[in-house]
Amino acid sequence: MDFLMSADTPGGTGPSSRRKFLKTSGAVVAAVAAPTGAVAKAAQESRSLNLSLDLPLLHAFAEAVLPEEIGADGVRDALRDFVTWMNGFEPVAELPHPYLSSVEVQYGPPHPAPRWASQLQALDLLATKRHGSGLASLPVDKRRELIAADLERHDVDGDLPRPAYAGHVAVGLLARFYSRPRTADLAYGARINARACRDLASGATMPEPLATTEAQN
Amino acid sequence: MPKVIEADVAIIGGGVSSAMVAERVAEDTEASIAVIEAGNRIFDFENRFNTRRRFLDYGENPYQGDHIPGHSCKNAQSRAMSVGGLAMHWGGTTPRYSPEDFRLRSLFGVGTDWPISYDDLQPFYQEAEERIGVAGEQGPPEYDPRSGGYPMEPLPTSYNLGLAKEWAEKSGIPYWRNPVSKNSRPWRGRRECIRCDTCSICPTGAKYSPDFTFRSLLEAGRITLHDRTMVRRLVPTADSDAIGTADAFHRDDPDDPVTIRARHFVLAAGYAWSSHLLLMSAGGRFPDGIANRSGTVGRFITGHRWVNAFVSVPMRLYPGVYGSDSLLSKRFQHKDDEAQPDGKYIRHDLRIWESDVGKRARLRDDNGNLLLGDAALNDWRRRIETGSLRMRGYYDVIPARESALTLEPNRKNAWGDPLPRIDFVDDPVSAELRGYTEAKIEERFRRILTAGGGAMLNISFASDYDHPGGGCRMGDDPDDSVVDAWGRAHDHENLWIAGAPTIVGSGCNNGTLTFAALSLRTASRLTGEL
Repeated sequence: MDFLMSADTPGGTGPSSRRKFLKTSGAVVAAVAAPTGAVAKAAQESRSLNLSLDLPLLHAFAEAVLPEEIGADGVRDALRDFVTWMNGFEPVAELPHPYLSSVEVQYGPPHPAPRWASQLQALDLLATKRHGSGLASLPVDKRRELIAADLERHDVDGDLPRPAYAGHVAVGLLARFYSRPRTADLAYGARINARACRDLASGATMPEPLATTEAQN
Repeated sequence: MPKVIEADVAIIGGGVSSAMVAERVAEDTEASIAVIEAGNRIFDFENRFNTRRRFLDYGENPYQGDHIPGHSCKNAQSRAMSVGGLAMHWGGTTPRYSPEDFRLRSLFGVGTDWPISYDDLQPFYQEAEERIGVAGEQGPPEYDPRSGGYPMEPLPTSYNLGLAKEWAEKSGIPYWRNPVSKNSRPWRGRRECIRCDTCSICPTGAKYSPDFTFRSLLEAGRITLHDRTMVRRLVPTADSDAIGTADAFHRDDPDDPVTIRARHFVLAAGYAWSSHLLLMSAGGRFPDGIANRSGTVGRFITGHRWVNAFVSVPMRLYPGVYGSDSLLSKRFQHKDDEAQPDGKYIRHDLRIWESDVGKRARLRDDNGNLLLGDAALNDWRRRIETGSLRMRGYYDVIPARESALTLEPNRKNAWGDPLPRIDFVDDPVSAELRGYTEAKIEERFRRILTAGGGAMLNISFASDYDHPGGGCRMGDDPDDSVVDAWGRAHDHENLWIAGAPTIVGSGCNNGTLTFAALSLRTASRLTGEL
C-alpha cells in the first residue's frame, strides 16, 4: 500500500498492477497504512462515516470523465490521488478567515464521499435499466453520455470548485485532477511543478518542456 | 496562571508592533518585559510543512485556533488574534510609504501633515528592514528614495514577472520589484526562501513572522509571554494621570481577575483593539476613555481603496511558480503634472502579479457545452496560449473625523464586554474625488494594455479601506491627536501606543513595514526612560 502514502508516486502497469490497485483502493476506505497526525484523524473520521465507494465502478466512471490521452496509467494515478485525497479529508474543518472580514470563522463541508457514492450507484443502476448492463460494461462513449446527462440534471456550471464542494462526483474528480500540478504540466507541456518548493534561481527561467514520455503519462 | 503580572514594561498585544518594541527594549535595556496577548500561542513552525499541505489539499486554516470565537470587530477587521497577530498570515510585502505621504497638507493642500517626516522615520525603516529581513530592489530614486540599501538583494525575478515587466514598461511607466520580508539568503537564523509560493503559510521560515521574535526572546529569558490573557481596562493611578494597572483575565479562568502592574504600558494591539481598549477604559476622571481628552480615540480611521483588474496578455506565461511575487511602481505617488494632471489630489501605487484568471481548466466552453474527456484538456491548452496578469492600484483616501471605531453596547463578547464596530467615512475631498480617481486608474491600466497589448478581463473597485490604521493618530496638538510624534499618549506619561493606530494616513502602500518602523521609533524613546 505504499502508493497510498504518496499520491504522486506513478503507478505500475498491466493487469496485475491494476487488480492490486483496485483491491487495495477498496481497502482505503477502511484503512490507511500507518497514518499519523491529521491524516490519522481524518482517516478515523472517514471510517466512522462508513464510506463505501465502489472502486471498480469509480474506475469505469473515471475512464469516461478524465482525458483519454492520459491513458490507463494516468487514470489509475489520478484515481489513487483522488482516493488518497478522500481518505485525508477532514469533515467540517476550520477554514482560514478571510482578510479584513469580521464574519465568524467558517467551517468546511461534510465529507462528500457518501453523496458521491450514491451518485455512482444511481448511474450504475441507470445504465443497467437503460442499456441492460452496468456502467463498467458500457463503451466509454456510452458511459460519457450518461454522465453528461447526469451533470446537466445537476445543473453544474463551468467553474471547477474545490473538490469537497463539488455537488457531483464527476466535478469532484475533475476538480481534483485539474488542480494537480502534474495536470497543469501536461496542459502547458512544461515542467512547471507548481506548489513545489525549489531553489531560488530555478524560478527565474522558462520551465523546461516535458519529455515526450512524461507527456504521454 | 499568575494573578499579578509585574514588569517594567507591559506590552499589550502580540503582533508585529509588539515584537518590534519587545526586541528593541530587550536589546537596549535590562528592563523586565511582559507581553500580554488575548489569543493563543501557536508556535507550530515545526509542523508547517504538514499544515501547508493540508491548506493546499483541503483549504484548511493553517493556523487552527488563531481567533477568539465571538470576539470580533464589525466591518473590516480580520479575525486573527494570536501571538504573532495578522503578521502570521501576511504576504510579507514591505514597501515603505512615500515622503509625500507625510506632508499632504503642505504639498497638496489636503488632509493632515504628520508630525514627523519621511526622513525622521528613515532610520527606523532601515532598522525594521534589518530586523524582519527585507529583500528588495532600489527603484528610481525620485520615486523610491532611500538613505541605505536593502538588507538583502532581491529574490531573483521569476520568469513570468520578467516578461510582465517588459510588457508593462512599454507604457513608459517604470516598475521594479516589490520589496518583501522573505530571505534571499539566510538571515538572522532563518533560512533562505525556496519559493514554496504559499507565503501565508511559509513552511521554511524564510518569510518573517513575529513568532520567531517572541520565541527567540523567550529562549533568551528576556520576556514573559502571557497568552490567552485578555486586558479589558487600563486604570490610572489615584493621584496622577499615569496608568497604574491593567485589569485582565485569563480565558481559562475568566472569573478570576489578573492585575498587570508596570512602569510603562505599551498598547500594541493593532488599530482596532487598541482604540477599543482605550474606550473600554472610560470612567472616573476619564469619562470618555483613556487618552481621549481630545475626543479623537477611535477616530480618523484610515486606509486606502483599490482598483483591481485581471488582463489577458499576448504572451505565454507559466503560472504557479511564484505567484506571490509582484512588481511595484510608485510613479503616481509623486507630486508632478503627470501624476496629478488635472490639479486634483490623486495618488496611487501600481502593482502587477502573474495570474491564472481566465486561464483555468473548466467544465463548460464559451457556448456552455460540457467538456469531458480530452475536450476539457484541449480547451485548457487553447486558452493558455496567452497569459493573464493581475493589476492593482491602491489610492490614498483621506479619512474624515467621523471615520471611526465605536463601541456597540448591545453586541458583547462571551465575557460581557461591548464589541467595536468601524465605519469608514471619507473626508469630503476624497469623497468628491472617488469616481475621478477610479476612472483615472482604470485609464492608466488601459494605457499599459494599449502599449503592451492585451485585453481587460474584468475590473473591480473596493468598497472599504484596505490596510487600515489610525484611531490613535499622532500629532503635535493634544486637542486633535491621541499621541505625540513618539507614540506617547498626550494624556498619560507612561502610556505608549505603537504602530498602526498612530498613523495619520495610509498612503498608497501596504502598511506593515511602516507600523514596524513606527513601533521601533516609539521603543527608541521609551528605552531612554528605563
